[in-house]
Amino acid sequence: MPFTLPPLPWAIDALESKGMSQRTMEFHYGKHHTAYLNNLNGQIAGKALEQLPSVHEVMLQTWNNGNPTPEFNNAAQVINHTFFWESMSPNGGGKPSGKVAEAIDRDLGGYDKFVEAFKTAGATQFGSGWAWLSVSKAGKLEVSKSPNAENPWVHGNTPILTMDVWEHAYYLDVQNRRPDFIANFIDKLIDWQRVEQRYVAATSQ
Amino acid sequence: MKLSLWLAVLAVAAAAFPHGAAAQNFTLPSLPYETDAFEPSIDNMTMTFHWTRHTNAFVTNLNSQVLVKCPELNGKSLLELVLAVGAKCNSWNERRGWGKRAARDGCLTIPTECETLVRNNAGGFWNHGLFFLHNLAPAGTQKYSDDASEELQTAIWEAFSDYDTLKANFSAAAAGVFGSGWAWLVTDDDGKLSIVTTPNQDNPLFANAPAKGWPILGLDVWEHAYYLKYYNVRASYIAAFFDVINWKGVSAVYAAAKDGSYGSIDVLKPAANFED
Repeated sequence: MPFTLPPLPWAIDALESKGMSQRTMEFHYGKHHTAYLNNLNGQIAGKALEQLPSVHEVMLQTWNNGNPTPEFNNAAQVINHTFFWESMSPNGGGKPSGKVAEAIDRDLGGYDKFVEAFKTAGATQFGSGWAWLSVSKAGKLEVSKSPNAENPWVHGNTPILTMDVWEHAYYLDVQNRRPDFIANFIDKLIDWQRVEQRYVAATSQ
Repeated sequence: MKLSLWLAVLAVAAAAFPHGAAAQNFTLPSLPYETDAFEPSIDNMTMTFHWTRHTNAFVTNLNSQVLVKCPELNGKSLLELVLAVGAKCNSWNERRGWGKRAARDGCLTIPTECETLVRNNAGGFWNHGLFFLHNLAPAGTQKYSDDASEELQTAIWEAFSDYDTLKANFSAAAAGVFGSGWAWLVTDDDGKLSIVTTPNQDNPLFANAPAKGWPILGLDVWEHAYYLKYYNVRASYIAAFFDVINWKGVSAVYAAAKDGSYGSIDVLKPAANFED
């Protein structure tokens, strides 16, 4: 059965006034994300991978312990992008609260330190990639970055927030000014409620 | 590649770029053409941003980070830096028993704290120098059949049977780069052509390049190279690139590579055909 993309969590223009334009979303979701999904379905047609219950499962299998097979890039990018949309909200931005805020204080030294680390991760991922906030196997929050399609899931960690820093994520809106994109994401877009839910889920055994 | 050829390249590079006493900061050259002269292949805004923002950032980083953190790299040419990426000079010396001579002749060791900076910024500046100043010519000014040298056309015929096959193979390679990177037409010491790709700002001149060669033509497939006009449709950008190739410039680089003087090409100086 071919896999399908979940719909966006909000209208295609919902983030326009928050700095992520409708035009960007049309291409990012309608072209890039959709192409990863279509390409993946094409690659796995008639193969055992097609029988796996989710794209997440395909991603983990095709990571192949660090020697990814050709399907990995598409599977991981499908997962990464869905996670990215669900990390943002038209009501997003501002500061976290609740358990994840406590964890940020405890594990990362506070919100300001988180912001600095997350900005650095996003700005210094050379080429294409992602910045992440994850719960490690040891149960601690950590900020990380990854190239291309790679992500913390394949390393056994549990992301709770991601930010796409492939140029297609920001080029129409801010061109080369990736740091402006990153600052705007942090200030205006992060869905901290969702991040909190993910944190709680990741830390309750 | 042949050791003697490599040393010859370095000798030419060193002679062309004398080691000055003062910090030899890099500067962004002026483009030898108008940025709006590449439509419909490449739009004006992309040509402008790509050179004045993206390429200029490498210049800034080289000057403010590399040359400051690793002042012993002052005076090294861009080509010297690029050739040194990933070089393991000690083992090279040991393997060949050249000892002091190798050190004098220029197995350049990049200090660890500058390795990534040099890789990304010297690589990036070199790549864009070749691309903008030797590989691009305004739309409608050149044609492969008229402007590629006989020598180059013969080499292309030998490696690919014809221009269309070169185009198809190069296009497939460029389209297949996942994430950011470049596609290259490279030659070996004997003039034999092949196509290789590299990630990010790596290139086939690096000492640790998995596929080495003398690049004569490169195509930037980082999204910033095409997104404003082509959005996600990289294939259209690749196809359009073939209409703005500076075949005269490519031929000149090829000729230099084939006769052992690749180092005589200064990628930061526009191709000679712009002097006409």
